[in-house]
This record gives sequence, C-alpha cells and structure tokens, in this order.
Amino acid sequence: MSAETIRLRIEELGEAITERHFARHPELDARYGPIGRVRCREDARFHLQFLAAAIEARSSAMFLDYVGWAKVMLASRDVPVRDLAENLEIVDSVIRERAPDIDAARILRLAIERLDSMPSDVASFLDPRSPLFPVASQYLELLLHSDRRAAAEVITNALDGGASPRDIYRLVFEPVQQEVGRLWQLNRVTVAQEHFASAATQQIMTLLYSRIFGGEKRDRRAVAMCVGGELHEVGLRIVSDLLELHGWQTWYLGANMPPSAAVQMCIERRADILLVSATLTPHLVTVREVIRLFRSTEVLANAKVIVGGRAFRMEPELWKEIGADGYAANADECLDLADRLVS
Amino acid sequence: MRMSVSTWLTGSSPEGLAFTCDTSGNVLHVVHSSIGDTTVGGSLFDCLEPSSQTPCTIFFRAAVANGFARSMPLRLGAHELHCFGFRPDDVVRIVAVAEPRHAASIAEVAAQLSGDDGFRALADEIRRTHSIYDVYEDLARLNNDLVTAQRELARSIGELTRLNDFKNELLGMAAHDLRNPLNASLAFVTFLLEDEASFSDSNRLLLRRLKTSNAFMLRLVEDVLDFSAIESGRVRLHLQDSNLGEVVQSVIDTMRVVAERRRITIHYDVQPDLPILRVDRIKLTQSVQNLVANAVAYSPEGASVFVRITRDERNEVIAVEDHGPGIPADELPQVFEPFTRLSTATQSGERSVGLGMAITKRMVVAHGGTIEVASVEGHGATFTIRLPIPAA
Repeated sequence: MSAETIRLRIEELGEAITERHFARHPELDARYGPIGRVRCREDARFHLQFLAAAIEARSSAMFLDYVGWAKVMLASRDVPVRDLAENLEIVDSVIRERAPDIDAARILRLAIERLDSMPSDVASFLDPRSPLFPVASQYLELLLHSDRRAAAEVITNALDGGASPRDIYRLVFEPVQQEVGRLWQLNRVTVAQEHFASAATQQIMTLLYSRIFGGEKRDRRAVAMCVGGELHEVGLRIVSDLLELHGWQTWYLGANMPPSAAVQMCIERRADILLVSATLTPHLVTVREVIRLFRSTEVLANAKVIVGGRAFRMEPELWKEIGADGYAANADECLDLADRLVS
Repeated sequence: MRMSVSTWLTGSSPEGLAFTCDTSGNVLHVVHSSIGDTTVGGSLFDCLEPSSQTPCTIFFRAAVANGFARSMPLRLGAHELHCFGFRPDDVVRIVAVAEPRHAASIAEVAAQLSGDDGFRALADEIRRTHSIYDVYEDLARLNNDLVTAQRELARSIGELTRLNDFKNELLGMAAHDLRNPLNASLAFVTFLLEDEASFSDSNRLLLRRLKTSNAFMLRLVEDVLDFSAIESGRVRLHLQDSNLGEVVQSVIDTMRVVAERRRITIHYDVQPDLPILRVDRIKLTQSVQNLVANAVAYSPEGASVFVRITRDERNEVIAVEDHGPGIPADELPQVFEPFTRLSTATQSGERSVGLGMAITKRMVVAHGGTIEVASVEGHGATFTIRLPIPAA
C-alpha cells in the first residue's frame, strides 16, 4: 500500500479505524456523545495523512515527530498515552488487513514502541539568554491577555530603545509565535488566544513596514508562499520581511495561492527565488507539485527554490529529494542561503 | 432539457451549485442562477475524480442517514468543491461550493429560485453547524489577506518614495546644469539691449521677447532647484531672531516698483508691538514675496492689494488680499500642489511656473506654520500665513 493509496482511501480507512476503536470501547459513546466518533475520525485521518507523508519521504523520524507532538498535546488534555498507543495499533491492524504495506507497518511499530520513551513536555522557545528576552516575555503576556495596543507599544518602545527591526523579528516575533504554538499544544492557551496572537503579531508587524520598505534595494527578487491553505503564515512573513530589510524585493503570496498562480507570479516578477513554506508534512505533496511546475517553466531555469517550515525539520536532506535548491531552518539561515544561491 | 452532470458542472460557475438527488445519488433537479431549472440525467458519482469517489460516498451516506452532512473538498469535474447535504424527506438537497463560507447564502438563493423550503432548511443547518473553529479560521484568513494587502501597500509606497526621490534628484541635477548657461544667456541679451538703437524695430522686439523667455526659464529653473531641494530634505532653515514687520516691509518695498507700473497700490497695515520670531529671513521673505507678487500679477490695473499683519491666540498672521479674478472653488484644493496652473490668467500677462505656491507652502510648514487660501470667484483671493508665537 503506497502513500498514494492511503490518501485515496483515507475516508474509508478512517471510518474503519473509528468503528474498531468504538467497538473495543463501547463506553466512549456514552463518555463523549456523538461528537466522539467525529473527533475520532478526524484523528484517524490526521494519523493517516502524516503516515502517508512519512512513507513518501521514507522517513520514520517524520512520523515519530508527529506522534511525539500528538503525545504531548493529548496528554495535556488528559487523554492517556495508552489511548494513543491503542489507536495507533488499530491503525496498524486496519492497514494490515485492508492493504498491507511494509513501510507503513515498520513506521507504525517503531512509533508504538517509542511512544513511552518520548518526552511528555516541550521546552520553552523563549531563551533567557537572548538580549530581548524581557521584551519577548512581556509581549507574549500582553498578547495572551488580548492587549494588542500595549503589545504594540512594547515593540515600538524596544525600537525606540535601539533594537533593530531585524532583532525584533528574530528575537521577539519568531520565538513568541513558536511559544504560543507550544502553549496551545500544552493546553495552556485556547485556540482563540492562539489565533489572536498570530493575528495581532501580523498587524503589529505592519508598524515596522515604514522602516522595512523604505530602505535601499538591490535587484534581487523573491516570491514567498505557504502551501496547503495553512494558517501558519507568520514564519514565512518573518522571512520575507527580513529579506526585504536586507535589500530584496519580495512578494508575499500567503496561503491561498494555487501552485500555478504562484509560478505565474514568479514569472511576472522575474523572481530569483521562490520560498515555499510548509508546516504540516501532509502538505509536502503540494510542495512537490509547486516545485515540479516551477522546474517545468523554462523562463525560471535560473531561478532557485528554497523550502522551509516545520515539515522539513526532521529530515535535513529532504529538500534535495523534493527537488529544491536549499532548505533554511530559520530566518537567518534563509537570508544567508538566498544571498549565496543568487550570487 | 437533459444534460449529463459532467457537462453541467464544466459549463457552470464553480462558485456555487445547488441541486437535488434521490437517496441513491441520482440527480433529480438542478437549481442554479446561470442555467435556471434544468433536469439532469445521471448520478452524482458519474463525474467524480477517482480520488473523490470514496469521500463522496461517505458524505452522501452520512447525509442520507443523519439528515445532514458536509464533505471534505471533492473533485467534481474541473472544480474542487465542498458539499453540504440535507435530507428532510426522500430528496437530498445539496449545495457544492468552492468557499464553504458561501454555502449558506447559495442554499438561500437556491430556495428562492426553486421555491423549495428544503434548501432554506439546509441554509439554516449550515449556519447552525458552522463551528466556532470555522469562524476562527475565516477570521485568520481575512486577517492574513488584510496584512498581505498592507504589506503590498507598504512595498508600493517604498517604491514610489524611491522613485520620487530619484525624480527630484534628476530634476535638481538638470536644473543645476541649466542655470549657468541661462544666466549667461540672459546677461548677453541684456547687454545687447543696452544698445537698443542699433537694432531695427523688429529685431528689437525679438530681442525683448528673447529676454522675457530667458528670464522665465531662469525663474523656472530656480524654482525647480528650490523645490527639489525642499523635497529631498536638503533645505536647512537658518533661524534668527527677526521682526516680521521688517521682513514684510522689505518685500513691499521691492514689489511697489512692479506694482506702480500697473498703477496698483499696496496697502500695508501692521499692528504695533510685533513679537520677535525666530525665522529664516531669506526663506520667509521669498514666501511673502511669492504671495505679494501673485496678488499684484492677478490684480487689474489701478486696483489695490492689502497686506496685513495681525495676531490670533497663538500665531502671527500675515494676510495678502487682492481683488483680481479669484480662484474657482474646484481649483482651490490644488493651489499648493506643485506644477498647478490655474484656469484664470494673470492680468499682467506674466507666465506662471506653477511651483511658487508649492514652495511657499513647504517653507511655511518648515517654520511650523500653516498657509491657507480663501477665494470667491470674481472677488479676489486672500492668502493667510500663520506662524506660531513661541511660548513665553
């Protein structure tokens, strides 16, 4: 059973997994009500999507990373780790019965075996050694209290106090955004708070635009896109704004752009570089499609593709296999890489 | 009219489709604004991409069994659509939309077009089940779009500012290079005209025209230089303690010579005890001179121009009033814009460069002051400069 087959039959497999889980635990219907099955189907679909992505990338580490993330997320919501283990067992058995696949079985076994030894906590992304640690902590607190105005003030005060826009992006926006994600994972903030923090940070970034977009420009052009309709846009925005600050001209396409439109934009803007970001590994399929389309476009023969985002984190060599010219783990790396690839 | 489902799907708008099926998925009736009521043959499943067959089956079964269901995105024909299904009776009402947030309104439209209340119930159900998470996602998307638009705006402003700076630099360079030869040429013509008698009448006339043109070009070049210097931020004010009355008096002394040629009287009225202001005398003189020169140029022969210095709560106020043709109301907002030429002509026949008022305004603003104009067409115009009095 290939990754493609899992994707094609994801609804059927998800249904079977849910049926089996509830058959084993009839008490769940009473505990969660009808929504229980809906959530279970959703979870099963997630497991299968991430499994398919891992099979395609030949990366068990990728699936282990997902399971590790899910373990922390579920544990902080009082779902015992054995429930996750059992659910993965059921995923394994359903796949074995319906369309066996050697890679799927191997990856699932590994995940189930390692589950217990995986950490049940995640370290904070705010580094007390950072010179802007006090700013970042205060900014985070204000965002979590939905005080956008005061949060913006913290940023403008830091700028007035001599912090560079680049440092604000790297040492405040970037780690705070990751930290909010971690706090959601740990069930310490709500979805509403998480959404508010992202939205507010994006708005507050616009306060810096007069400083970023007025600078000297070199003739270097980049188009940036998120794939898969993802809402995790802040990271890519940080990268493209920093490139702009670095003298590049950048066009930020956001997450709702179909691959063909993104490639068209690269042609129109005579882009030197296309930046593609993916947070969730199931969206790697779209990254492949974008790159395939990009490579088949003759006028873009000299242009380069840089990939980034959490989806690439576990497999440092995946960018080669996927057809990109490089991978950047963070904004700083991306600036260096972009300059190197174009010079 | 009968048509296959796939023909219908490819031929219609992907934004929203509404149709009914029997409980086996056979399409019974299509309600769609662009094609009206159409009887369609075939099954819902006929035109699905292979990857969408299973999800569609699950969606459809759920709609039939539970009464309401929504699908993952399905590939139908050339489109990727989210389906919402509702079965209050033997007929399943389905809307398929590219954007889930449009589903309820499409169902509402379908209800109106078909008169089928089942679609209205579907709209209600879609709204009822639209979860808080969908709202968050929609808001996040809207916010993303908004920020992207702000970003594009900032980028465009950055580019325009750069272009504007470049334009000013270019203008400045061109004007600078033109000034010296123009000065020389004006001096030559003036020199020739000192010996007027040695020229025939027609040549003398030509030389005078040449001199007028030359003087105009020189003024244009100097205005452009001033303007580009201001625009590129190269202007520094050399502030010194000054008596406003003296500054204005010096302008009037100069302008009286020009005014008297056309029998225009300049009335000057200064209130006593003017405070000492810190201003750049040369630039302020130039600003007031621009106003008085304009007032004289637009006044008919024999008219009066009034220049007054008064005081309000916080400012010294210099007003220059003429009784010329005035400025049409629709042109008032452009008076201080660069290269503006008003539709009314000067009475003196003098040509206007179109930069004087723009320069004046920028210089007054650089002093922390304001300038405004009031005019009724046919009844002259009054320009008012306000310069703040420093707190004691």
